[in-house]
Amino acid sequence: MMKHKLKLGDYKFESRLIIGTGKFSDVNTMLKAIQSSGTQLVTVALRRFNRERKSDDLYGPLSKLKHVTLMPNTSGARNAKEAVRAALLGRELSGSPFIKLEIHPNPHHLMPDPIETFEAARILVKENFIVMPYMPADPVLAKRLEDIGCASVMPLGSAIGSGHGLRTHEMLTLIIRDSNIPVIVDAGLRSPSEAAAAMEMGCDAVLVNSAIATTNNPEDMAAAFAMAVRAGRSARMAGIMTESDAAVPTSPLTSFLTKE
Amino acid sequence: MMVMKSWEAAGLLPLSRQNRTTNDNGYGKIMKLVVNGEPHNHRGNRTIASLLDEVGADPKRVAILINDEVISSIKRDVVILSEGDNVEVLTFVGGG
Amino acid sequence: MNTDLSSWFDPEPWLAASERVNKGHVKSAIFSGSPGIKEFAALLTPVAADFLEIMAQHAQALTQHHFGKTISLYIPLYLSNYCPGGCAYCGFASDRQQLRRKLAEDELMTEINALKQKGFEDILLLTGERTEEAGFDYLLKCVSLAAGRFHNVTIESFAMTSDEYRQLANAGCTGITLYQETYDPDVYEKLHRWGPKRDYTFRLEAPARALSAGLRIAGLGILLGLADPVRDAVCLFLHIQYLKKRFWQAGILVSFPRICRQFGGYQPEYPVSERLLAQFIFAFRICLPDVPLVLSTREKPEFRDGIAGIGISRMSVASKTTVGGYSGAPASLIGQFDVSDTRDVETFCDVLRNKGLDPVFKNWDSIFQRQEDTMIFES
Repeated sequence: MMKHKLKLGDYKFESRLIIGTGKFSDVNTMLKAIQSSGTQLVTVALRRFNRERKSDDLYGPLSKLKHVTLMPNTSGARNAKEAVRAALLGRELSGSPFIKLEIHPNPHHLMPDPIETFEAARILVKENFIVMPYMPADPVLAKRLEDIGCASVMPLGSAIGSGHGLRTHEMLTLIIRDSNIPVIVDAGLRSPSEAAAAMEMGCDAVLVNSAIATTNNPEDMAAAFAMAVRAGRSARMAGIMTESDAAVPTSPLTSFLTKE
Repeated sequence: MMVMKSWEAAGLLPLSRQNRTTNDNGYGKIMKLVVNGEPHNHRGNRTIASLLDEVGADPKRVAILINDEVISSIKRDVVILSEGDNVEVLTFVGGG
Repeated sequence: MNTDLSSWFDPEPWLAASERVNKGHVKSAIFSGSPGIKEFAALLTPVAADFLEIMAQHAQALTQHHFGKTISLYIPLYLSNYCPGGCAYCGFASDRQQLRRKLAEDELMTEINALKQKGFEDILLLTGERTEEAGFDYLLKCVSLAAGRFHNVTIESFAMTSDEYRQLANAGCTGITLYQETYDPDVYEKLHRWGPKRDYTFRLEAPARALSAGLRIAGLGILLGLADPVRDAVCLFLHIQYLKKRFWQAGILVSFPRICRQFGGYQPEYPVSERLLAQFIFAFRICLPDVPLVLSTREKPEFRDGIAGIGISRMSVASKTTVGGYSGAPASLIGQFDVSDTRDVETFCDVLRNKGLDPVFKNWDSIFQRQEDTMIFES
């Protein structure tokens, strides 16, 4: 039973699956996937209006979805200043206080810039955004972002679009252990089992985009991810059996203790 | 851009402009702007509403930057575009 | 700071739960990937006592994982035994007849030189509760002098204000050791018969004040024997969790002072055996794998030798608990407690090496703290 909701700022969400809207073949497919996923938080990007591609407009269809909050992201921004500008525009347009802070200056590997992200987060927290920073899986950076008031941290599992899964597993463990705010794995998840694994590890939510958008059947894949996230979370809450590696002692270490 | 003054809003022209004879609606010659990185000849009344109408964008579905400054929807009604303004018209698209 | 103590440390739910612990729970707790208070409480139970060897094996693996095969060595230096306090268990209590003295500056320097000769770089300065003779200003001066000669200077002294901790940090102190002694308020009141230490809350909140004020390290502990040790250990664990959550950059240490029969005759009401002490050490190591665990020379050589490296990662050696004493002290002075392991530095280091452990005197981290040592950066 999913008693506890995901708390981000003043918002509480039942669903722990966040969906990214990029790379879908068309808007209708995207909308179907969103609905079958049961998600309540969806990221969108800001781009120049193009009259020839009016059918790309998401704002109309998305704003009609009940129970779905929009989270603009700052992808395209290469530094803090651009990200802040994108955030202000995103809030302007959507009315949503959420901002997914995403600054990747290198267009090849799309790794997030920790310094620009920190700077932008500091400014945006002061501007009363609910700041959700996409970041390298760095435990110290995670605490720094928490200290300045981010609503969550979003460490990458592996490079965006790579589908390499939870490569950053060890770092994620440290981040989860020490974090007082939700930890949301973003980027790199390829399959529902990986999403379940992330939740079993102790993540509070996952963000999935490519793994749903680029399959043959995004609607069904989205539903599968939703099930996996719920399964992983339930398992975590129920308490997963530990691997017992009770080694047979070669020579006893406690022989120095007097018997009682 | 300039913030519109009340006598302009009332439809009165400043003296210096009263003798223009161009094929526009009386507010001056064609204004050259840059919109979304491309040169754009604005023939409207230099309001954001008329520019959006020209480019075919629904005002409720776009966000506006003028010369790097975010223009909130409240401010939109009082802004007047100036020659050479760099305008960005942005909308939400799919992104992760 | 929220002084509503029950809000962050209430041991009752964990003690109640641990009454139902069985062998399966103990095994889960030992090998848990992310042990918390629940696992810790389980490892303190009599059921867990049957798993001592397995706990030891796991504790050794974790100690090696986090600390390598090293033992960090430090030396305590008692600056003064003036004390207005009436702590029933302490050799310095004001109703104990003994010569009271404090180290003058030149005496301090003599002691410091003697200790540096023996190779020490990590020193713990101790005093009694606040007195006219040995108050804050005296301590601050001693800290400044020691900080000029040792890589790491910590203090075990009276609970102080934030401002005082700030001044100590600026003078080169890296941390404090401050035991709550017991978290049981009734026992605490009974044993601290008079003196400023009677203020339970002021003492309880002191480590948080110290860490807020810029000190990097807080050493905590319970005096085993004063009250129900399991209850106290659970409270200590909760206290540590609270501090770690609030101060993510702080270093936390845990010590295991065990009250033994003392000259002057205080008999511990809840004596803790060596086996139970070992069980506690293993429980802390398993549930707080990266926290240094400290053992002093209060314990016998055999115990110290056995537990080094299987949980314990930091030890004092060749300690004296009289004022000064490293370069000769008057024989009439009573120490704060009796030292059981009187071996000298070389002997003890040889024993450690024979066990495959490397005794380490210097914590290289502290080199970067003092400006006069840095040559690289020019203004």
